[in-house]
Amino acid sequence: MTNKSLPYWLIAPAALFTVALFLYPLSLVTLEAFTAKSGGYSLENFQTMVGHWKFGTALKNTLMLTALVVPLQMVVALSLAQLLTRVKSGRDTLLYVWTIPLGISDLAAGIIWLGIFEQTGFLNSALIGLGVVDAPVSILGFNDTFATLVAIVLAEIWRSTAIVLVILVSGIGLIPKEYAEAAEVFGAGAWAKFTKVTLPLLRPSLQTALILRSILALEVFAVVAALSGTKFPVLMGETYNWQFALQDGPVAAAFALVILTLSVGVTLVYLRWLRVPRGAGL
Amino acid sequence: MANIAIQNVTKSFGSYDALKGIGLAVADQEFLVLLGASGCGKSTLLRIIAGLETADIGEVHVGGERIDQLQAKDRRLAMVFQNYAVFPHLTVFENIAFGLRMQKRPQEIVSAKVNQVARMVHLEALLDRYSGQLSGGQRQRVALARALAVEPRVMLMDEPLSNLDALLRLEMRAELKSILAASKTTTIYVTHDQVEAMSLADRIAVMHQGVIVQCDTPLEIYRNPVNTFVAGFIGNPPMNFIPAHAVQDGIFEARGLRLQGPLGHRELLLGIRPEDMQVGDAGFTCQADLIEPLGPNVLVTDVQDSAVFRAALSSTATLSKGQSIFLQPDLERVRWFTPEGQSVKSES
Amino acid sequence: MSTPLITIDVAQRRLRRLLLVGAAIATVWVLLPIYFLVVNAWSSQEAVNAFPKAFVPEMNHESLSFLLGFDGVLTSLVNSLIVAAITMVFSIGLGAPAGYALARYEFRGKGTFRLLILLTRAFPLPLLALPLTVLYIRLGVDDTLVGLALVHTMLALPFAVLITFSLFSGVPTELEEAAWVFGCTKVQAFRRVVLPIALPGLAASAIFAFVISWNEVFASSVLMIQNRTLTAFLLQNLDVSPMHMKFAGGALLVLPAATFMFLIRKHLFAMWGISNR
Repeated sequence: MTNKSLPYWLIAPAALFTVALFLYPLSLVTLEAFTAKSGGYSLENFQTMVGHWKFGTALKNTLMLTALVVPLQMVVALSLAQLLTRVKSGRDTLLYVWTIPLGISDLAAGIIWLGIFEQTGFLNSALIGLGVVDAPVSILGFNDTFATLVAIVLAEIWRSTAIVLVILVSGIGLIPKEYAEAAEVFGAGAWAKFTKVTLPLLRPSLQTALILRSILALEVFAVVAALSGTKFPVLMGETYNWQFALQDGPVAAAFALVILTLSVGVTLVYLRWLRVPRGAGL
Repeated sequence: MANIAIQNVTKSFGSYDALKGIGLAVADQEFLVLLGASGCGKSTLLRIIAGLETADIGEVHVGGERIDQLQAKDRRLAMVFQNYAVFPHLTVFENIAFGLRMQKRPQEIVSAKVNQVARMVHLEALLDRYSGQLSGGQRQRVALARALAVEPRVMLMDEPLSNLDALLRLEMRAELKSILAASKTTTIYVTHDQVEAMSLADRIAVMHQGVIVQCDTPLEIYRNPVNTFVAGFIGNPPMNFIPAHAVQDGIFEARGLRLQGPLGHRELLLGIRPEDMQVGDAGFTCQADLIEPLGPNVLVTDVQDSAVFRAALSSTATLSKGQSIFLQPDLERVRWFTPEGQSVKSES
Repeated sequence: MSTPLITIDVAQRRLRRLLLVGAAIATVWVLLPIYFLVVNAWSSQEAVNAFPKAFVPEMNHESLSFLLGFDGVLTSLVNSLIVAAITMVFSIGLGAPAGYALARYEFRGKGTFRLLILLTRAFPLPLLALPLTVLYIRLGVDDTLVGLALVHTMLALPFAVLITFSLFSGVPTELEEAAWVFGCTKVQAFRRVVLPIALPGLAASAIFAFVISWNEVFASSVLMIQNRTLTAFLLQNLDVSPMHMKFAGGALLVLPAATFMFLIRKHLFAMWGISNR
C-alpha cells in the first residue's frame, strides 16, 4: 500500500457501500416503478397509482404539510437561534434542552402529541379545566381534516426544530461579530441587522436547513400514522400501504419515485435560489 | 461643532480594569490618536465612544450632546474597523451606501454620494465587485469610503492600517492624511504604531494600563515626554536612560560625563535619544560592542553593565568592534527623570 | 429631533424581557409534551383513559410492565438494540476512515466522493428499503437484523463521514508528523496521537449513529416481519394497541435515546461547530 493509494483504500469501503446501498437501490426502484407486471416497461404502475382515490389527497396533503411546516419551522428556529445569540448566561443549558427532541423518533413524537390531542388528551383536559369548553373537542376525528392538519403541523414543528436549530446556530457562530457591529455603528437597528446582515450571511446554512427540512417534510410518515392512522393520507404512508398491506411493490415504487422526484426538485430549487455569488461568501 | 468631551470613563471586565477614569477633550476637526501597546485600553475607549461597549462610569459628549446613553445606531458616528468588516454579501457600491441606506436617503442622493466618495478613494472601477474579489488594501478603502459617505460628526478608526503590509501601509497613511484633512472631520484614531501616530496626529494621547499618560502634540511628546514610559515608547530605537548622581547640587555625573541638571536631586535618570549624540573628544563613554550599519545611520550598542546604551550615528563614522568612544550629547535634548520615572524640569 | 431616542438602558431592559419570555415559552414548549408522555407512561390504564386527565403521573408501573410483558415487545427491544449496535459499528467502521482520508489527503476523486456523500442528502433514504426487500429475499438476508442494519448504516454513513471529517480536521497534522519524525509508523502515530484526541468525538458520533438506527421507523417496518424492531412493532400495532400501551411504547422509545443524546451533547455541539461563543 503506497502513500499515494492510501486515501483510496480508506474511502473505498464507504464509497462501495454507498454505491451498493444507495445508487444501486435507487436505480432498482426507478426500474421497478417503470416495470409492468407482465414484464417490459410501461407506465401502468403510475396509472394505477394516480387512479387510486387516495393519491390526489395524499399528494395534496403532503404538499400542504410541507408548504406549512417548512416556513413556520424556519421562523421558529431562526427566532430561537437569534435568541440564543443574545443570551448571556445559561445559553448552553438552553441549547441542551432545546435539542432534546433530536433523540426522539418521529413515531415517538407522534405518540407524544397523540397524548395531547386525542379525545381524552391533555389539551382537552386543560380546556375543560379552564372552562373554555363544556365538552371535549374532537381534533383527530375523521371529519376534522383541518384540525388534524394543525395537529400534525404542530407535532412536526415540535420534533424537528432541534435539527434546524443546530444547523442555524452553528451557521450563526461562523459569522464574525464585527459585521453586526459595523452595521450597528452605521445605523442599523435590531431588525435591520437581522435582515440585512445575519440572514444574507446565513445563506449556506439556510440552504442546508431548508433542503433537510423539506425532504423530511416530504417523507413524513410516522407522525401522521400515530396521530391519524389512515385518516390523513400522505405520500409516504401510501407507499408503505402499497408495499406492505396491498403487497404491490411496483406501485409502491411508483409512489417512491414521486417522493424522490419531489425531493430532488425541491433541492435543486433551493440550491439555485440560495446560492452565493462568487466572491460574496463569508 | 463636533468636539468630543470624555469625562471620567471607567470600564472593568470582571476583575480586570480596562479603563480608569479617562478624561479627554478633542477639538472640532482635530485628529487625535490614541497610542499604546495592546491591552492599554485604547480600543475599549474607542468602542465605548462608538457605543459597542458601555462604560461603567463616566460620560461621553459629542458636539455638546451627551451620547453615552444612546444606542450605537443613534450616535451618527462612523467607524473603520481593524479587519475592515466589509460586508461580504454586498457589492462595493452597496457597502459604501450602507449607512446612507440605513438613513433611508433617496436613491439619487445615495448614488451621487457613493460615486463621489468612491472617486475620493479611487474605487470607482470596482463598484460592482464583491469583497472576496478585492485585495486587503482595496477592502480597507471600501471601509473608509463607507465611513466617509455618511459625513459623520466624528470618525473613529481602530488600527485600520495594521493588517496591511509595510509598503501599502506607508502609501495608505499618506492617502488617509490627505483625505481626512480634506473632509474636515473630527477623528479619533487608535494605533500601537508610534510612527503612524507621529505622522497623522494633531495630538497624541499615550495610553498605558487604562490611563492616559500624556496628551500633547507629537513634537511635544517627542521632545518633552512626561515620564520614562512615554519617552521610551516614542522613538525607535528608544531613548536611553542613564543613571546620574549629583556630585554637587545641580551638577551630575553620568557615564563619565559631567553636566548641569536640576537642583535638589541626589539621583536622577538622564534621558538622551540615540540620535541626539555625536562622536567627539569628550562625552559619554561608550564601548562599541555591537555595530549595526542600518543604511541611513549606524546603530552602536554598548551592552556593558546590564544597561543597554544605544547611539545612532551618521553612517560616515568608522568604528571597529569593541572600540571605546566618547559620545557628545546635544545638551538641549537632554531630559531628566526621577528614578521612579517622572520628568523633572531642568532649570538651566 | 422628532421622536425621542431609546436609551441603551431601556433597550436592554426590553430585550431582556423579550429574551426571558421567549426562552421560557420555548423551554416549556419543548419539555411539556415529553412530560405528558411520562405522565401517561407512568400511569395505570384507567388513568390513561380517564378524562379529564390528571397532570401528574401516578408513578404506576402497570402500563410499562404490561408493555414489556406483551408478547414480542421484549424481543423487539432486543432486536432494536442489536440493529443499532451493528449500525454503530458499521457506520463508524466505514465512515471514520473516509473522514480521515478527506481530512488529511488531497487526491483525485476527492470531490466526486464528497459529492456522492452530499447527494445522499437530497433523497429520502428510507425509501430505498423498498427495492431492497426483493433484493434481500433473493440474497437470503430478508427479515434479518443485519439486513436492516445495512440500511440504517446507509442512513448514518453520511453523518459519520462528515462528522469524522470535521473531527480529524481539528487534529493538527503537525502532531502526527511529529510522531513520524520520532519513529512511529503511520498506524502507530494514528493510534497514539490522533485516536486519543478524536476518541470522544468518535464515541459521540457512534452514539449518534446508534440513535439514528434506534429511532428509524419506515425501513424497519418495511423490511422486517418476524424480527421486528421496537419501532416497527409499535407502528404496526398502532391501530390495535390500547392507549396506555402506545404511551408506554413511546416512553420506551424516547427515554434511552434522549438520554444518550443528552449525555453526549457536548461532543455533538463540538462536531456540529457550535462553539461556546
